[in-house]
Amino acid sequence: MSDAKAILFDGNSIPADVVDQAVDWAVKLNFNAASASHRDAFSEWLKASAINAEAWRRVQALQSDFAKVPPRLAIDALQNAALNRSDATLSRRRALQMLGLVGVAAAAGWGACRQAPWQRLLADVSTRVGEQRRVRLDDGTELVLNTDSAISADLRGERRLIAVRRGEIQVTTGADNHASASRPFWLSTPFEAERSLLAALVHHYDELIDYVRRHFGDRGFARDIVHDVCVQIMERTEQTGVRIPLALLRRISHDKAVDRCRGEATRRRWIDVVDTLPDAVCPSSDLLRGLTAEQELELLTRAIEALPLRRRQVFILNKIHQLPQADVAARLGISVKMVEKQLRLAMLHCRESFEGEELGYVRFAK
Amino acid sequence: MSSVDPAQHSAIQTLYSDHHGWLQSWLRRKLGNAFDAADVAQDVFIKLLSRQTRVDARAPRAYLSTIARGLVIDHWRRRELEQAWLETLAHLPAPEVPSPESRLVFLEALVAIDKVLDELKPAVRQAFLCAQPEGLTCPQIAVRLGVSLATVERYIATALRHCYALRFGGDV
Repeated sequence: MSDAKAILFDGNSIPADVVDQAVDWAVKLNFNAASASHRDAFSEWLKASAINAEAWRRVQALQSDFAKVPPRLAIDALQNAALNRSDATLSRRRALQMLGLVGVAAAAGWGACRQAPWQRLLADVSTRVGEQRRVRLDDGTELVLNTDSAISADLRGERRLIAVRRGEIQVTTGADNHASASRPFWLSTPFEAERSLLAALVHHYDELIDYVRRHFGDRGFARDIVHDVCVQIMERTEQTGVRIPLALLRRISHDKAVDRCRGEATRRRWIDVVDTLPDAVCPSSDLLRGLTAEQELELLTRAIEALPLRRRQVFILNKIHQLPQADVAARLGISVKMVEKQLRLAMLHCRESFEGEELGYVRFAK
Repeated sequence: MSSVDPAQHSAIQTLYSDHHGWLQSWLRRKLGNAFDAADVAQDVFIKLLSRQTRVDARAPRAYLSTIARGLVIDHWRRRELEQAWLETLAHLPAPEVPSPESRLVFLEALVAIDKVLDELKPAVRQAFLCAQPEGLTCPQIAVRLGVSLATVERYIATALRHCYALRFGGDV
């Protein structure tokens, strides 16, 4: 019968004050022990108009969802979901709080946004996939770079330093005739840098992405996973002395991908959740702050690219290659003080462009 | 209700033929698999069709992705809830585990409840959770949460008005 009346009001036309009255009655009758006088007053109200009756019917219908689920199960499930969600938020916040994130996210972003592996950007000599190259250095040393490799050489100092950035090389040391006495020959390989997991991740970035992609089938997904792994490593205290970092990283990435496929819980925090839909009632401010992982990486990459050349070099050498500041100074032929200064300015710039953009984003959303 | 004006209809049609492929691959990147992407892409257009507002054709892809984003979030929320639901079931002793078909009904109801709860303030949510599935009365909730009866009643009324807005439209 009340359905028949409802047709008269057609859709959404119940006035807000009537809805409010119905809600007030529901609070009094459904959620309180109502007195007899209350009940009488209620039946008066209910009979007073068809609109009242329809409003009451609707308010009662709202509770039907709750009636469907056994209370204990509903509460448990909702609590589990809330727990999972707050875990995801917390870990993300903690990660962002860490000052260093800018540097590392930039490192990952650098790899993600470049077609060519970024190790080549800094290399003195590099080969593309399928290319082999023979190089003769000033001191007579002969190098053969295998496919997809990159090295940089520094022969100016007290020692001869060849750093393998990527791939593999064959070395035949030269006599070093130009120097007064034959200088020691140092070869630094990626494995040396791999004492830290983070450095290993940066170094094996492309490889890890490929690994996840092969097993889970999607490149964008793979990037997200590796980015998550990166954040996870940042959050933990630095683990050193891992015997085979790449194996561990693969394992972590694999587990993370499986987690993601199952629960998708962490993933949500990376999604751009600024929702400008008119029917979204109240997106919480927490969600507003979320930028997509890709957006963050893009921002940072752009920030790095916008740096002046010298500053960018310092930033990349120190933050991405994890070269100590003193070494950076030696390589670039500038003072350590200058390295410090450039680094500070670079970090400031990155952080500023990051925050500025974020604020702008929220403003736009409102 | 189902009367979509023809101009609107053809605008959506153009949107579909020009950008459906793009939208689907955009979603595939977000969701990690093609099936969900196809589902959500479909939902985007269903949502468009059921809307009263005009299609904004100036920046079609931005428009589509804005809608899609909201749906992607719903999608992940739903997945999270499913996960939590399965966890809850896994901890139940065998005789108490509901039958498969009632499980599905429960899950649907939970999704609806979760959607409502998500948009409430934490204090309101807590009070409402005591009232609704748990079935406490306002005075009992007031004691449990250590707030006044009037506050609890205000919380419950807020929650109900919010449910109403979500279900029947109108702003509260």
